[in-house]
Amino acid sequence: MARDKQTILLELLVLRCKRGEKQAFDELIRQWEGRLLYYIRRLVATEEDAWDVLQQTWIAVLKGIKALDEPQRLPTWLYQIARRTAASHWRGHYREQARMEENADLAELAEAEEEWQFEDAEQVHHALGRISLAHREVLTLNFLEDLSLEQMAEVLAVPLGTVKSRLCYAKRALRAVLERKEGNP
Amino acid sequence: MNNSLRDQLLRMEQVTPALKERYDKEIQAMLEKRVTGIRRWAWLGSAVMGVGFTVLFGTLAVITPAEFPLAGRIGFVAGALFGIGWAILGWRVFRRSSINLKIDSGAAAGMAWGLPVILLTLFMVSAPDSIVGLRMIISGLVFLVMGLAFLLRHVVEQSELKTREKLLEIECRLAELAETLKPGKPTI
Repeated sequence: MARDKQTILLELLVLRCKRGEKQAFDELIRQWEGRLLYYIRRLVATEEDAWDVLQQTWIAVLKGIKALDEPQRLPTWLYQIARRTAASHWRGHYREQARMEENADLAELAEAEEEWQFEDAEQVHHALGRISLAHREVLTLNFLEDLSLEQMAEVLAVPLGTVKSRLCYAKRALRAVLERKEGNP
Repeated sequence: MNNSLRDQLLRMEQVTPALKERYDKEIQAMLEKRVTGIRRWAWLGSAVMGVGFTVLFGTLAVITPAEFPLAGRIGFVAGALFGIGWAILGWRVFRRSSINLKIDSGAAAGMAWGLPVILLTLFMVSAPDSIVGLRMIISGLVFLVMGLAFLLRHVVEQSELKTREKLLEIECRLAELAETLKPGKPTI
């Protein structure tokens, strides 16, 4: 099956980075820093931390890109590195929250599978800051649209079912925050 | 301007200009290391030394008598080339006041590795025709083969990446063509 142009261009960029082309690395940073910053900012407490984590992420990318054997995995790989780097800021705190949802009943969640549409970006942006870290993270990845559910599972290092359930709970939580806000403008 | 939820969210992210500026500087520093003060002048010193080597070895390569062994003359030429390389690198770093960690470090490593390999080869070629010479050649060969293996690996890796790049460029053009030929899309 033919691949889309964006995927091919992304792979080309990775190969140029692997050959040590400085311009390619600048291009990679330009293309991804906005999305990675948005993701990291949702994981750490302050903006300053987010910039520091982002910088550390690029250092790890620069060191490790030669070993990236499958260039098409770039988005997953970048989010994995960003997450690992951010992990030092919230280690422990996050795991507890996440574990509670590992055994979620998917059958029960299937009922809640209706497609929720979040349209008001400003409200969503602020509401993201008021839900739990685990929910915030999975929803941010979902909103950034760079990864499939399988790739999200890889980034979050959890089974696919957990991603689905966590995403569902996260949407519920976000919706609840938005509704509360609408109720008390 | 794209107005998907993703793009709207990304635009919502407020950044502090001072923090962004600091980050940009650090990213730049990641790829380029600033060289100031005495270190910058040390690079100029190495450029001058490079010119000195070039003049010295270049002159020796030219003025040595005709009966001087060819291997020795080649050694002098290699030394002169090494000097030119260092002179250019030193001058570039001095002028820019920064070292490009990928390009300049690679060039320095290449030169530092290349000259001993050339000299080693020359010593092996001009080794005496005796058991001592044979020992010299065998121990030299070990290093030479190791160096060659590294070089070959690098060349193979680079060619493989270039081939993959070319294939992807073709694939990209085909994808562009397929997009243009999509029904309902004007072809001109």
